[in-house]
Amino acid sequence: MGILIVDDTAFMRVTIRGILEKNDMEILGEAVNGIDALEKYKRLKPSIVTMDITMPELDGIEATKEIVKIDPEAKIIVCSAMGQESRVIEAINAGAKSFVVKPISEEKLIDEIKKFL
Amino acid sequence: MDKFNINDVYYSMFLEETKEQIEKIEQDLLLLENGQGSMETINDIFRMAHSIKGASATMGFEDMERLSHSLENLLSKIRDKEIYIDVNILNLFFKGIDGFKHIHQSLSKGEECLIDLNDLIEEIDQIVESGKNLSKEQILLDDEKASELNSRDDIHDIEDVELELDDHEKELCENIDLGLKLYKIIIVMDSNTKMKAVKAFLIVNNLMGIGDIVATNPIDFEQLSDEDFENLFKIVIATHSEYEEIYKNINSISEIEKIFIKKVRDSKKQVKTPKNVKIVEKQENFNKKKISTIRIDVNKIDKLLNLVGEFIIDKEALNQIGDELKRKYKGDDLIRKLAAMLPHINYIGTELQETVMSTRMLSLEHIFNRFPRMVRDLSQKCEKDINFVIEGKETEIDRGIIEELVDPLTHILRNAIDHGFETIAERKIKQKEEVGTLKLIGKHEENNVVIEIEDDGKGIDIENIKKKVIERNLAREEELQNLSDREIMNYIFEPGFSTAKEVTDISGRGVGLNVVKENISKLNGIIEIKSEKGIGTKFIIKLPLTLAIIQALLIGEGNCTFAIPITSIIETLRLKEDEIGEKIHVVGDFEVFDWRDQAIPIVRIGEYFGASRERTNKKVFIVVVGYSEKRFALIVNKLLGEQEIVIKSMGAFIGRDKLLGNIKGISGVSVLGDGKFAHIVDIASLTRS
Repeated sequence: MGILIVDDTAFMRVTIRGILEKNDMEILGEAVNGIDALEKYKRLKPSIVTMDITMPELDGIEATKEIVKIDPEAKIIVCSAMGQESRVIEAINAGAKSFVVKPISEEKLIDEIKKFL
Repeated sequence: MDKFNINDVYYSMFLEETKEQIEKIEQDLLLLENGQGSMETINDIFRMAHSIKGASATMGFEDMERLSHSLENLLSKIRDKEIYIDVNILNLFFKGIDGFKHIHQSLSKGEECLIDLNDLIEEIDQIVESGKNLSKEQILLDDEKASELNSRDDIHDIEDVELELDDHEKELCENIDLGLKLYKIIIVMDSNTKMKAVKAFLIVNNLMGIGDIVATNPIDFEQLSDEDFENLFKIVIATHSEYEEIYKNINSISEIEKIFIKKVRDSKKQVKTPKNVKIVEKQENFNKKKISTIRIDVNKIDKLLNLVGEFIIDKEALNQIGDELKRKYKGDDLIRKLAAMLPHINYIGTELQETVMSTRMLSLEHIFNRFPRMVRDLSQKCEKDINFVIEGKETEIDRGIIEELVDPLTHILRNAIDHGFETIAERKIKQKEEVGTLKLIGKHEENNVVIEIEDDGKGIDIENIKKKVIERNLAREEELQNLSDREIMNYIFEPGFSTAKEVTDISGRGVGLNVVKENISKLNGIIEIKSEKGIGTKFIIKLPLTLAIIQALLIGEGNCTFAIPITSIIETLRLKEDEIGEKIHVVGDFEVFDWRDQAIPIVRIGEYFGASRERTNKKVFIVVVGYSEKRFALIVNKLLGEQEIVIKSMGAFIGRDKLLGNIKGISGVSVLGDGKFAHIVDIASLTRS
């Protein structure tokens, strides 16, 4: 098992990394935008991706679409802030398998990841 | 009046009906045991027990009446949920069914049943009276599974009525294909869930992978804010899936507190197909299709078939006469009329034959249905866990064949369970699935019905077979070296071959697979075996659709006529004088024919049957025939042409301990148009000589 963290803000990446490390989960890498995420997905082949929605270059929804194209079984957890409901639904339509709401609670994120294991 | 008068119309009607009911109850019980039953199944059994009670009371068969009465009482306790179904209760029912069967058997012979059922009846009555189960392990009905899922934790309870469809949902459901099951689902979300709307969307999205969403409540769930969203989310789904599948798809989502699922409508199989198309459905349930039928005495149908047979003989004769007349009185007006009529008579003959044949067709269901119970009992006895799968039981075959199949199939299935499967422990060690799979498959292949019995057990060790073959002097080691594994495998059908180390009361009855093969050959069928050590064994039985009328090539030898079934002929050729020496060689004591770069053995039909000894060096006819993998060449004197022949079985006279003993190579006779007999050559038995 390995996780790829995708978020454009360093703060969020550090937060998520902290939660995962605390729970002994393996982190394969971090990506800072959709294009980066796509490239790292192909190279690192993570079993789970945490995906931010609003990002420069290529946003989370487009990145999800592209990843699902190359791997329909990809397990993508969308991370989004309250108020972004319609965008989360778009992401699910694009192939995301689940979501967590920012601010991310440790319990919820781990819960979601465990559902995939 | 004698109450055991078999010839009485009511008596035979009673027997016929109760037989069906007993069989149906047995099937229902197996459903219950497999956890596939529902309250409807219980009601079904109840209805049938009730009508058996009524009928047997009318006929004055007290045993049967008392037994059905007790069972009925027990069923009504189950209906009222005072008693639940457990292993003990099911076994009581099975014993009850056995009781019915014993009585039925005796009654069919016009005798009183002497088996004492009092203990059984008392046992049933005691349970009914006490209202207590003896076993704590309840076997759940389908309907009860829903509540089982619900009771996983008890934080949130809902009223049962909430799981019913409301008026609006009912209206929406009316247009749903009857082939789909409908479920109402209520999901309780964790009250702290954020973005409940998206959560609901995720649930719907998951469920859309296994079915169609008919309705949701709230309808506009996607637009609701968390404050407006109550924790309950209701869905009606139309799907082929079962509870577990639905549950799994919802439960894979986080922050869900409880899931309630109820099947609000079961699927109804309503498949319309053209007459000539058969759907081979994988039926796990034993639901019978309803076809409108009348009961006809089998003897009448048999008589009709005989008449058609005679008609076909006359038709052939008429055609022969027609041909001769044509040659003799060419151009005559009457001959032209005759020539115009004959094709029509031929056409009617064919149609008539097909129609009568079709009335004789029965689906394999008639015999397949008796096996689940047998497999169940046997696997319990052998302490093996076996999943028995029946496919294609709607495949139709002549009733004459079907009755003859019971013994061979029983034998093979018993063998498979007793010797074919490893014990649970052995399977574990071999890292196989603990539950073995035994498949019984019926299907059509061209003009044949194919029945396969397949297990995923130990398989057969070819080296063991070789050893046995040599041990039993069935062949020499050098001979075996020239044979393929498949040919060696076929030795297990030889008389005197049995690899089971000891005779058990399950499959060892002194009858070997050679008898199975003999039975199948008598039906003009063939049986083959494929097996791989460690992986499993498969028996393949190929049978003609019908017994009675076949297409055959007639050949003349001396004064005799022989018929070779067309199905076994591969090629017919004529050798000119100069080709004979080139193609026919003598190897040791045998003659072989050089056919498509293979040397195949030759049988001179006339000499084999002692019909003629004359050999000609001028042109000869060769008929290449095949039986399973084997090919050989028949040298025949005269080819008399192809025609339909009606087989008159000599089964009552040929065979072990019968009047004529074992006649090798002949499977029956046929009466030809000119009144002569034709001997029908049994290719399968020729291959053994």
